[in-house]
Amino acid sequence: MTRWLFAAVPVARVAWLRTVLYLFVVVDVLLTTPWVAAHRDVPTGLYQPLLVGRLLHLPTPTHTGVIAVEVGVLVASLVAATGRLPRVAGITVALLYLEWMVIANSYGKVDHDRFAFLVALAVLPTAGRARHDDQTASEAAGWAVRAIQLSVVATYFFSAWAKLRFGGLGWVNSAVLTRAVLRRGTPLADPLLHHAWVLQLSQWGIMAFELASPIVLWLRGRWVYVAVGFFLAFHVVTFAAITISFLPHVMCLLAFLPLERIRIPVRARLLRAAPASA
Amino acid sequence: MTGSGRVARLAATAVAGVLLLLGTLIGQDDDFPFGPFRMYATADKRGGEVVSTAIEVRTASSEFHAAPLTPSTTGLRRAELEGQLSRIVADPSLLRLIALAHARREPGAEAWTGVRVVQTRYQLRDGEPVGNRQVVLAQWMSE
Repeated sequence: MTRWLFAAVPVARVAWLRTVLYLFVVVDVLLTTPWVAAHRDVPTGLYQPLLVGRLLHLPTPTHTGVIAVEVGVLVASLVAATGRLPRVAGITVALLYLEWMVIANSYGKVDHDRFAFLVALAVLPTAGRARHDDQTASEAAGWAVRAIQLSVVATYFFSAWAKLRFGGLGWVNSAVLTRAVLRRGTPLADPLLHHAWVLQLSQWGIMAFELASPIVLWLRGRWVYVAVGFFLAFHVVTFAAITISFLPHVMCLLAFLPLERIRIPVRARLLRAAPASA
Repeated sequence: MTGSGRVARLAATAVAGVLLLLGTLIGQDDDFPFGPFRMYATADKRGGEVVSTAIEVRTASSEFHAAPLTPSTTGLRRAELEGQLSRIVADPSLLRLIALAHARREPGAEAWTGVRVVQTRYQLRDGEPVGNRQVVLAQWMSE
């Protein structure tokens, strides 16, 4: 078990994950989850702090406070994305992004689309300095990657468990997807309201795949791509049907892929041209 | 990797795993980020009702009419209003805060002098919608 948890991967994979995930923080904050920043205009009387906010005595978000956290998380992410100060910048991003999520989820609705992303931000700083061309196998990098993979799988598996806890075994035959489509269906999904059996069959499929998702942790070679492709297809269909994207979680699927094989052609040419400096 | 580094990582993995397990077994949304991943976890009855919540507003120049309830107009998402609905029904004057948020989000627009929460309740039969009705749940007016 311990050996599996610390199975070494090339340091380059962590370097690539940092570049992509820290740049994605910027995309997430500014473009794909803009409603968090909109909370700056919500009067504090509608702030309902989560347990973590009460335990840590986090300040009630004011207009200025929300903007300060936003700017802080953007600056720290841009620094971290360069690969400089991997610990200081990375830990700053992790803490400020957690506060950003407290601001997001403390107004009456908690989202569950980024547990893996929060874990990724927490573990990426632990792997130390990492270069994109460093193929050295590292246990520290291996643990960080494994932790992200585990949290991706946990998101699927434990959400199936939550369905059994709150909905019971009857969840698979319930009208839960009818409700989802009635409330936020797209033109693509709306016709399914009158073919409820399709929605019901989808519920069986979702339960089966979520419960089976841990299998991906033991797959190798092309089967990993098949599984990741399947997860991706699930999120694409969900987005097409009810415009829920799970994008931060989807980004974490990258932890399953051999990112260390990415080569930047320009850099490779430069290295060939000047071997002495390598 | 040093021995202590390995122990720290093992401990962190175990603690996170236990918290997530506990959150899933007995936790609630409040326990974020370790609460249960309960998105769409309810088993809605195939012959039951599905509700969708909206707001209607009035201004100095118009009576109550449907208004968008989105982050760009009110700073809030529909699900957030629904999450605070029991508070709002108990104290409809909280709707004043939504009018205030709207004034901040759209300073050029006409101020909302009244806000009410309207719920559309879809009746299902065999998992398919067969009709709907609207219910006013809470209302606030400035004078």
